Amino acid sequence: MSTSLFDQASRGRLFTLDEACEILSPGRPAAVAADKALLQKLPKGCWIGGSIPYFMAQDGGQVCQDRVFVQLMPEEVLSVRIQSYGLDEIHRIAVDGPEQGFSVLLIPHNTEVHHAYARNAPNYEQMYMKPIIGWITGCHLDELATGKSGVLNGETGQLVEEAALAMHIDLPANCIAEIGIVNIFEQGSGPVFHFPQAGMHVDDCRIDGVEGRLADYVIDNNIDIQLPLVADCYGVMVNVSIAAVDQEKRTVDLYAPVFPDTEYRFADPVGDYVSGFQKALPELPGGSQFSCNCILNYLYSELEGKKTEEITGPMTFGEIGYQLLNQTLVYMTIHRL
Amino acid sequence: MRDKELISSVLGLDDKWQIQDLSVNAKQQRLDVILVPSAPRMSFFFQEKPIDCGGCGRSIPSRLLTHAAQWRHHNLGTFHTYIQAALPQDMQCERSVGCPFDKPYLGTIGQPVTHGLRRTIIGLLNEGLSSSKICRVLDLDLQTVWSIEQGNAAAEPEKEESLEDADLPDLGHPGWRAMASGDWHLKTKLLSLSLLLSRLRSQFNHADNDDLRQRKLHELRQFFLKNKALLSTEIEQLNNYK
Repeated sequence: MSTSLFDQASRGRLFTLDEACEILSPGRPAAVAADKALLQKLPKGCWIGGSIPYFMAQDGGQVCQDRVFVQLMPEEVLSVRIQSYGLDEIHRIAVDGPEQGFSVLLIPHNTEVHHAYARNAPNYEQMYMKPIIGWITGCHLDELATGKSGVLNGETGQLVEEAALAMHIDLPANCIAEIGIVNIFEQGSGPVFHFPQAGMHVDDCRIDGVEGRLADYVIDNNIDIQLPLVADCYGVMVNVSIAAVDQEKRTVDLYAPVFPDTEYRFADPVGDYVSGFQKALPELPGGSQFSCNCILNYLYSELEGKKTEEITGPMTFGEIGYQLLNQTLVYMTIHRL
Repeated sequence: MRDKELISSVLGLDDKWQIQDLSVNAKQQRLDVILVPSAPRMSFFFQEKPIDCGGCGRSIPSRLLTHAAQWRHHNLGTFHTYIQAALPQDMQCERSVGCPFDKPYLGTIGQPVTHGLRRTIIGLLNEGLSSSKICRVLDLDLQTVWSIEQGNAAAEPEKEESLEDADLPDLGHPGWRAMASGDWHLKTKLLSLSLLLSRLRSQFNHADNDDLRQRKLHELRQFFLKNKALLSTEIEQLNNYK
């Protein structure tokens, strides 16, 4: 394999199918993203893949069903375990994670395991103690009604549509993985929303302390639903994006759950995403070792053809930075002590 | 026969386990279920096929399932449900995925409850419910919940001993409590710490007993121990907290 191809894959790049086969064949651990049909054409090896045809590639945002995004794992990797997680097992994701290292987690969109992770991940045993990064797999938006997303275990060649797939990666003691996010949304100055229970389907809530319904508020105030609800989680802005408002039933469907005991406000408009992103991006001296961004940022901020600095990766149906996140860029850096 | 099928589906048995016997005592509101591995398949020369563990890779002949155990499981309706099964005496597998003995409706030897019920209890403890509330919600006796709570807490200090903690204040330092309660806002850029503190603050402030609050402080300190290399400025703030 040519060195330049290898170097590019270490930074995460979009490749032709032939190039991806060449990169993956030697067996160095990798996380892969591509259209589902393309994933199944890749050679067996030490990799996991998720279905998605949207990318922030080296030459800008694009939708593409004939190329493969390959992110090689850091060269210091000591060992790798690829493990599948069904609904009854996903709660062990952090417990199973390496004591020194990180886990990459891919979950098919709109499955029971996706919904369970969304609602329950913050309370899983050992959550936040070990780095977990990943994304919710998807399909082309034109195929949303019929196309299923999936995850593929490169070791076995098996494509799964109902279970999550994790790659647990052990690193040496002098390498420490850190996960960060870039979220350009901030809480606006509008009313505070409190929700009585965790969920991705919302009806009643309290609005500035008064009983109400989120759907009514959105309709009555002509709220732009491209703007997420934002919670301030100890200084970190966590988005909950709106999927749909049902005017008849007066309910709202969300792309991530709201939680009780948490204050939400609608975000202020951000203007130009790319310049906002450039301002928000922290210095990453060693570069990002893995990243993904949200399909909603791709669509709402019209990122096709635009670049988000050197950060590349799939544009996904949900981002995982420990818990499920929305409209957020998630990245991982490795500190080498 | 139909009763067994019905209870099998209610318990969510997979194809590796089946109900050998079940009995209902309406007066005592008690359901007893005896599980056995699904009918052993015969292989070449009619040898009984062993049970393969996809977790540790071992093949365990059915004849080695000698250690009978009984666990309390989630109630089915108002009926207390008890499950009996035989396990291998030397359970070695530590993986959940692929292990035929790591099922929500089975337990480990010496544990009073199934894995599924244990998980529910730990989840409720982590969400800040007191032992007595959990007893009421799950219709359990206090001794059972305490044993799970103590077993869970006892497992943690063991890990702590292996970590170097000379630079980190002990749990008596007021900064831990101030941080967990939200009285003091530690400055941090670490995503995992922010998310942990956000969850923990809610649990800490909703806890109705000091044991639970102490466990949350312990969890927070464990996080600092494990992530010490990324937390130099946070540890400095903590050490300077008065």
